[in-house]
Amino acid sequence: MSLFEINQLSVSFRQYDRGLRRRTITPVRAMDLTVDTGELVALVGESGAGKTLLGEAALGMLPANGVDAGEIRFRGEVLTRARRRELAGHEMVMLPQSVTYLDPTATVGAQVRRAFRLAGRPAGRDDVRRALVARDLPDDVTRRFPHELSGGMARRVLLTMALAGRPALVFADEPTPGLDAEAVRAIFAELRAIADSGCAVVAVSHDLSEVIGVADRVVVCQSGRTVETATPDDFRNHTLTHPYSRALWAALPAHGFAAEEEP
Amino acid sequence: MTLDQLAPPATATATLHAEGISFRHRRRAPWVLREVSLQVRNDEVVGLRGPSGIGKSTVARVLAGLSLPQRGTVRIGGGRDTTRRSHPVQLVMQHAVLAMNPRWRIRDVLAEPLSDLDRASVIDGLVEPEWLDRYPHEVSGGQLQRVNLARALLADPEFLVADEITASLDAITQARIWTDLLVRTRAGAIGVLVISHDDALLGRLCDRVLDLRDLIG
Repeated sequence: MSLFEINQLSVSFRQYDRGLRRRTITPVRAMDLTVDTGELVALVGESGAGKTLLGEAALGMLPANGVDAGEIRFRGEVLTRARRRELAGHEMVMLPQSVTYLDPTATVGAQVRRAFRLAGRPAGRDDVRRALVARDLPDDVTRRFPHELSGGMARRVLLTMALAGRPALVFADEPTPGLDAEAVRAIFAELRAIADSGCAVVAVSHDLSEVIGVADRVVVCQSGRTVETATPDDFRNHTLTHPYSRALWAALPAHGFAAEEEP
Repeated sequence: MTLDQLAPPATATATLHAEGISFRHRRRAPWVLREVSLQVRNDEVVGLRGPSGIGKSTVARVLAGLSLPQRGTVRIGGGRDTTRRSHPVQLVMQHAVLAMNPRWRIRDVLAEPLSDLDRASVIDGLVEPEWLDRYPHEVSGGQLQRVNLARALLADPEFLVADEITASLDAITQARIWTDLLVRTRAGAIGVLVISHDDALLGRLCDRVLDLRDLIG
């Protein structure tokens, strides 16, 4: 039994078109993912394939018109939607994709203090400043507003907030876009260290060439389905089995920059 | 078509100059940019790299007129008319969804720079007709970035600043979007400044690559 298992997850949305005509769209059709304590599993693949929705479903964060089916287990327990909401923010946390998850009207210090308070950690000014400085943020960061942060700094602020409650599962949704190569490596090394310290980490990423350097396994998805679970060596040694996984690797700028999928 | 097969660029007819620009968010705040100078010709694709937090996105905002520098100037040498309606430097950013009114359909988003979409051959092959009646959150991230780029092209720019436009997209979508975009900018003599942390990507796309650390006066 793994710490966290997703079996045949699907997510649908009910929408009203013009008037009362109802339509249902199903962006996530069949996704499987398993991660254990100490592991870092990368979730890669097509934009819009449902990677973010998988995380939102797992943490009970789907919008009100979203319906999910399939099974989500945490420590062996099948999680109802209500139970996911209870665990979210404590045992299971989301490191959100967009830096716009920061409140533009509050200082970094105030926001991190609130996160620490909610997590039941000492939340004094010095506790917060020390935690931020420990992530290589400048000393004056607590007084800054989000628009005064670079992309890399904002990521590290979000990471500090997400980890405040010492969670068992971290779902990192695109932790690196917009960061320079050094910062990308630093964030991935940080996620690896978080896994090694006894967390289960799922990292959604498009930075395939970097994430395989730290991942134990790579789950590839396309059009709402997980099509392959590979090892980093499968990418390096060209032993991938699914055509989409091979096309994804070939399209990297460092490889072929090939715009077409294999037939 | 691949990028290597694109027609060789036309001779430059306009150059975007940034001269000694300095910017900070408020008085007495630390300078984000100090005396940065650069030039981009309208027949070239130029990369801009540099570590996180060095001010690349601020350069983009200043070039596109969204932030006013406290010192220095941005001007276009040569160029077309001066009575145009939209800014000659259009900025496209990483998060397309934040650049659009969530209550507008794609059709209305695209109609903002040019109300007569039927005339807009520039967006053929960039935006699919069936997206037009959807809202921004009802298309994928890659599709929405195509809409974002189409909107910028409809404003008939002389220069396009692309700030990490494919950083949130998968590699296949990234390769397709850049191919579709550069075909149009080369054909339309639109100069492109590509901001990215991905050196391999800059190597694929750009005629030359600048490091912001080398541009400080």
